[in-house]
Amino acid sequence: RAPSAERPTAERRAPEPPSPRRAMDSPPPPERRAMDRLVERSALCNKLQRNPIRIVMNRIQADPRIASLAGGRPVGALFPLKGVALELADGATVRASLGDDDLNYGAANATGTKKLRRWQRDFLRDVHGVHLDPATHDAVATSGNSDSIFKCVLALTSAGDVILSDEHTYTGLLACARPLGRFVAGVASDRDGVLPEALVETCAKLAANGRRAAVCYVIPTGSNPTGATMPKRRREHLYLACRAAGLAIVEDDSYCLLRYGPARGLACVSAGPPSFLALDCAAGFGDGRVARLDSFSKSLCPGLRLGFLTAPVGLIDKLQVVNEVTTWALSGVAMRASEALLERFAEHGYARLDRQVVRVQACYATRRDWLLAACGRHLKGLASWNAPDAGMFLFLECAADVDAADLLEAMLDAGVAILPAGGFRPDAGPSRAFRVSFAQLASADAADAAAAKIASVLRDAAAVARATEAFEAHV
Amino acid sequence: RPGGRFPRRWQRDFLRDVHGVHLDPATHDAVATSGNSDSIFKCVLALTSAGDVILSDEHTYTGLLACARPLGRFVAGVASDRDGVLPEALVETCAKLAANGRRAAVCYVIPTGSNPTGATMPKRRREHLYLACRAAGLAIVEDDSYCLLRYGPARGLACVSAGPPSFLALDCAAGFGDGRVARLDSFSKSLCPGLRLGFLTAPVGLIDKLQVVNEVTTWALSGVAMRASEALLERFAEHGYARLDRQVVRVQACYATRRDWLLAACGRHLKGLASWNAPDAGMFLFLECAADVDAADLLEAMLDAGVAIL
Repeated sequence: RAPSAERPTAERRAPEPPSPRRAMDSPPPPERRAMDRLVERSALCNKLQRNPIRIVMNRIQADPRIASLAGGRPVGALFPLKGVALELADGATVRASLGDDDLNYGAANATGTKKLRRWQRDFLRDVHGVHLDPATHDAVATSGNSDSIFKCVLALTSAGDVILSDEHTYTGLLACARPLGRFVAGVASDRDGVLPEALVETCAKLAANGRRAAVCYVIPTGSNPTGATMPKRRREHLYLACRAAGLAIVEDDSYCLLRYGPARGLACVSAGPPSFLALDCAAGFGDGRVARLDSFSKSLCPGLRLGFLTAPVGLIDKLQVVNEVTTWALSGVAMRASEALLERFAEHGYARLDRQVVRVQACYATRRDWLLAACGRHLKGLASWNAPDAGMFLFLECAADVDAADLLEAMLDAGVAILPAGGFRPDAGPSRAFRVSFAQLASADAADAAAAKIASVLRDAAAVARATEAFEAHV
Repeated sequence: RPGGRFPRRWQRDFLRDVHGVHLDPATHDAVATSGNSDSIFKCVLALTSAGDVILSDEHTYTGLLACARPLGRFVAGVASDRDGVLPEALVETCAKLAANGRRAAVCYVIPTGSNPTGATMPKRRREHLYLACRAAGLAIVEDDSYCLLRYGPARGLACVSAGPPSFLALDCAAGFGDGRVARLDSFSKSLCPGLRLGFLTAPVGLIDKLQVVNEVTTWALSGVAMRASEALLERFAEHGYARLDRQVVRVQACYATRRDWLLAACGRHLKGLASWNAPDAGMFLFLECAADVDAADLLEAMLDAGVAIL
C-alpha cells in the first residue's frame, strides 16, 4: 500500500502527457490496485489519521482480558429502543430488532452493516453478473449518491485538481466541487457521451499548464442532462483513455434501473452495456480504478437516503476513515430497517424488487412517450430532440441560433419550466439546448400543453432571430 | 428542510422549557443533524478555511483533531485550568497567531463534562470566555454532547436549569450576546448513538449557509428517519417531557454509580500514585500520574496488565 506521508501540493510533479495510441494498446497491470495510487492524490487522504481510540479499541476487541476504561461508549442497557418497523405501501410491515451493535457506536456508522454490504455484493452478482473479488473490491452503504459524490471528491482529489466530465453534466457535481476548490472541465462529447480521444487531449493540455486531472465523472445510463446511455464500445474506449490519462472513474449510475428498452424490470441491466464497474472487474481488462455509485432514490424513493458505493479496497479503506472523521452519519436504526426492506425485496429471486422496477419503468416510459409525441406535434422545425431509452430527461436543442438561457424568462412567463443546458456546462458557456424532464408529467394533456408553450416561445425566438439576422445583414 | 418544521419546533420548545432560552426567530434557528460528529465537520467547513486555526482546551475531543487536520485546519490548545480555557490566554494566543500571519477563526468548547478532562465550566468562566472570543473575533462552537449526563443534586432534565447557562444562552441574552455561538446537541448519550440524531442551533446566518452546505455535500437526512424521530421525540415530550425526564434520570443514575465505583476504587488503590478529579458530569475521570512520566509510554504496560485507558 502507498505510504500516507504528507504531500505538499507544491511538490507535485506535473504528470507526463500520455501518449494516446501506445498507452491504450498496453496490457493492464496484473493486479487491480490502481486505486491505491489514485487516493494518494487526495491531500485529505494523505493526512487522514484514524482516531487513536480505534487503535486501542482493536486491541481490546482482540483481547477479552482487557478491562476497557478507554472509550466513552454508552451503556447498552439504557437504550430506549428495541426494534423498528417500516410500513409498506402494499400493506405489509417489515420489522427488525435493534441490538447493541445497531444502537451503539460502531464501524457500521461509517461503512454500513455487514448485511447491507452483502446485499450489494449479491445484487451485483445476480443482476449485473459482476463478481466482486473481495481481495480487490468491496462495497459500503451510503446516504445516497450526493454524499458519495462528495466523499469521492474528498478522497480522490485535492484542492486545485480537475474533475473531467461530459460537456453537460449533473449540476450537483459542479455545486459540490467548486466550494471545495476543485475544478470541473467538460470534455468534448457526442450523443454517446465523452469522446475518449478528446479526454486524453484535455488531460495533456491541462498537464502542459501545470494542472492535474484526477477523476473522470460519468453518468452512463440516462445521463443527466443529455439522457444519453453510453454504448459498450464507447465505455471500453473511455475506460482505456482514463487509464492512459491516469484517472479514477466515478460512475454515477443513479438511473441504472430507469430503462425503457424491450428488457424490463431488473433484466434491463444484463440486457444493457456493461457498467464501468463490470469493466473494472473484468479479468485482463480492468485494473481497479472505478468507484461505482448506486442509489435507491429513483427506483424506491429519495427519502430513504440509501445507496451503495462499490470500489477497489484501496478507496474503501480510505472512505471508512473519511466517514469516521467527518460525517459518521449512517444510522443503525435506519440501516436495520433498510436491511429488512431490501431482504423482502430480494426474496424469491428479487421478485418484489423486479415488480417495483417494472412499475417504475412503465410509468416513466409512458411519460416519456407522451412528451415525445407532444414534441412531434408542436416542435417540428423549431427544435430537435433525442428519444432517451433511460432516465428522466429529454435534451431539446433549439433550431434557431439562440442562447437557451435568454429564453428562460419567456418560458416561465409562458407557464412552463425547463432548464437551459448552459447551467449544466462546467464552463457555464452558452447553449441552445434545454433539459426537459418528463418525470412529473401526469398526463398526455399535460405533455401536450407543455410542448405547446415551449413551441410558442421558440416560435417567437425564431422570429426575433430572423429579424435580427435581417437587420444585421442590412447594417 | 429535512424534517420540515419538526426540528425547529422541537428545539425551540426544548430550549425554552428546559434551558429557559428563548430563541428569537429573527436571529436564531435550529436544524436537525446526523449527530455531533457531522455537526463538527459541517461547522469546520462553514466557519473556517484551510490554514485557519481552531482554538480549544489544552486537552480536547480527538474527533475534532481527526476532522480538522485532513481538512488542512490547525487546532491550537489554549492554556487551561481545571475549569477550562483561560480567557486571557485565549486572547494572547490569538494575538500571537495574528502576529505570525495566522488566523484563529473558532473556539471549540465542551462546556459540560468535557472530553477528556471531565470539567464543567462554571458560569463566570463562560461569560469571560464569551467576551474574550468576541474580543478576538471568534465564532464559538459549543459541543454539549454530555449536557444531560450530570450527577449533581438536580437530576433529570432539571439538571440543565440548575447548572451554568450554556454558551447559546449567553448568545441569546439581551445586552450580552451578539450571535456568535453554534450549539451542538445530540441524543447519542441520553438515548442512543445509533439514532444518529441531534440539533444544531445557531444564528440564522450560519443556519442558512449550513442548509446550502448540506445540499451540496451530504444531503443525508432521511425523511423516513426524521418522521420516526419526530414520533419518538413527541412521545418523550408528552406531559412536560415526563418520559424523557425518566430516561435521563435512569441514565444519570447509571453513570453516577459507575463514577462513584471508580472514585472509590481510585481512593483505595491510587493514593500517592496519582491524583484525579471528581467530575459532576460526563463519562471521564482525568487521572494524573504523581511520577513525572509520559502516560503514552505506559499504554503498552497498561494493556498488558489488562486495562485500557487513553
